[in-house]
Amino acid sequence: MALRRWILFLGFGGAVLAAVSSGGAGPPGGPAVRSQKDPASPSARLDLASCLPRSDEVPGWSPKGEALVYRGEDLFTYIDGGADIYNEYGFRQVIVQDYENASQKAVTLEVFEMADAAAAFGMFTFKTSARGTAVALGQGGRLEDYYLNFWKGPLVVTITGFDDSPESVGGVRAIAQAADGKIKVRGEKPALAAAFPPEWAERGGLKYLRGPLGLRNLHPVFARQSIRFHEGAAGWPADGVLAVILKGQTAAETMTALSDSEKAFSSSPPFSGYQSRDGGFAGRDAKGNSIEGRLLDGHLALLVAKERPGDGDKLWERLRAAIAGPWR
Amino acid sequence: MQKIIGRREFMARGAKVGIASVLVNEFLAKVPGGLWAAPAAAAPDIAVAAGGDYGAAAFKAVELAGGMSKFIKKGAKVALLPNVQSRHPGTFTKPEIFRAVIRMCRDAGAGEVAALSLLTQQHWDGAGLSQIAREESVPVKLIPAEDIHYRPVPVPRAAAFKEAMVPNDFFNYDAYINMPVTKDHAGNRFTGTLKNHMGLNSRAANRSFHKPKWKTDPADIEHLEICIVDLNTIFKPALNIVDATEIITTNGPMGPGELIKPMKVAAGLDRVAIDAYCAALLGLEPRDVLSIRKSAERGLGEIDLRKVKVQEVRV
Repeated sequence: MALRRWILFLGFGGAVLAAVSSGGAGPPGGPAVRSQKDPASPSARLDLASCLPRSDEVPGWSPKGEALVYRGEDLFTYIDGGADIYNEYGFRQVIVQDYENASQKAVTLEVFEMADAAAAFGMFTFKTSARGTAVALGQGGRLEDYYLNFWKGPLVVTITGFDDSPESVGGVRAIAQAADGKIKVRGEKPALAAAFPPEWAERGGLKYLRGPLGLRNLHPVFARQSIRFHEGAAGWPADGVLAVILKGQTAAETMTALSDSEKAFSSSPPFSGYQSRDGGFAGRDAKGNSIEGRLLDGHLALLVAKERPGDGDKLWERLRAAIAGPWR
Repeated sequence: MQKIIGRREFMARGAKVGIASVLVNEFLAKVPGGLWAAPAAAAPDIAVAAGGDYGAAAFKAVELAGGMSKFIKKGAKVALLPNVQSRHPGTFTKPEIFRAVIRMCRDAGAGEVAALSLLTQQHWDGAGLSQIAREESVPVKLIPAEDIHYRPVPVPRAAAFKEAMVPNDFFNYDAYINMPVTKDHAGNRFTGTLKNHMGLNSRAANRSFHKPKWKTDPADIEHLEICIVDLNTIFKPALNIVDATEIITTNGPMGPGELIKPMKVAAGLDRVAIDAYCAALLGLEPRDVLSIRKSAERGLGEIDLRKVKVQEVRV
């Protein structure tokens, strides 16, 4: 299984370079590169300009102004304080192109190249929620009130209208469809995220985590915590119950995540009733959220709920089954 | 027995503190309404106006707070500090609020009104604020990124951030009005009055708030928020006017994200109290937002909303 995935990954990597030729600073007449610094890239950058629909590919909508490219650390120039979360997942570059229609409605297309497909999937899960509507665009296409996200291979694509009028949302859909058609690559979800059953995602959105910012944004119970881990996934096995799986790159790192959690939840002022039990812990925060942590099959598993679920044991069994599932 | 401090004594005490501050940091003293200001007895600490006409809400919030002339002296040169970081809905200060504040400053007798920004013309155009500035004949002073455009300012009470780089242009003004939009922030969960002060610190200096080991070192993760608190110790806005009309609750600060519409404008002097109020609008516990909690611990304001007077009206 793992070998198949690796072969697919290699195949998809080759497909990327074939579909969107390696671009460097872009072709003559291509997008303006706004990077002051251009840190050495570990591999060839993709030519993101080839992902941008031309006006003849999106009836009624035309590119407005030049496309801009921001690379590496210069993401801070583009989104300032919003850059850290992209860096947490692994950011390479982004291209931004505005579009406009005859009545001067505006839509912006952003194509982010992340470090790999797992990073793109993770950033996609950070940007989306269960509130949106699934659309058959890219991988996991999701339309929310005035914007649409999908991921494809190492790319996260975001199309934003500036109001939720039918005209703007129509433009968002049209540009998304055209961009989707120009991007020929696909990627696989990271194995840890694939472990969660689809219905766990539907209740509140599946999240794939690569660091502390993603965890802090997941639920208020993690707002003050600093838990170190390599990767994680989160979903909703029951209404109001959040399940989180974290793991380190090694068993020792996973143990560090457990000790970070124990330290955080046993010493933070808003938590009470801390108990160490069965190689794990349980506690409650000031708002009554219960949190339990256990080591399950080499992973740190956390259950967060408004009240300790009555069927807690069943939930733990389902979590254990997910971790031990066929994805391994 | 409770001691009532009269205005004369208040001013004398303030002047002592002020003189000490002037010695270490000259431009604190340049800010009218700072250490010398005595709040009007009837005015709330947080004045909030809600309604679909955002300009009218801004006028009403400031009126409730005591009126612009309470915060801006006649003839004062006033700088405005709106947020134009992104043009996605719920991520920038609304043009209607920007226009209302310009007009209130002029009505109060301001000698000059201008906007200061570290961002680009494209940001201002995208947010729609450059059009308002043109219509109101307000110059927008875009500060270039090079160090030559900034003046080093020591941060005497620093826990981490010891020297700010403040735009030279800032020192040409007698007062500034802090005009953030409150919204989600992926890095520290929340942005509002405190964080908007990063707009008065060079982008290069702001980059130092984000330490390289933050992914693995818990102390580095908190560094950003401690620096925000440090930065706020050297600034004192004449007034904070916060756009809480349409705000994103996810994917901040850039968006696009889930949008809520409290349709509120909040005004007041206490940055911590206003941020605590606005954090609650986003469903956050103020004490969970480190920059708010640490600002309160450092004496920059009141985090406990039960201890401040909040007045809300509809327009």
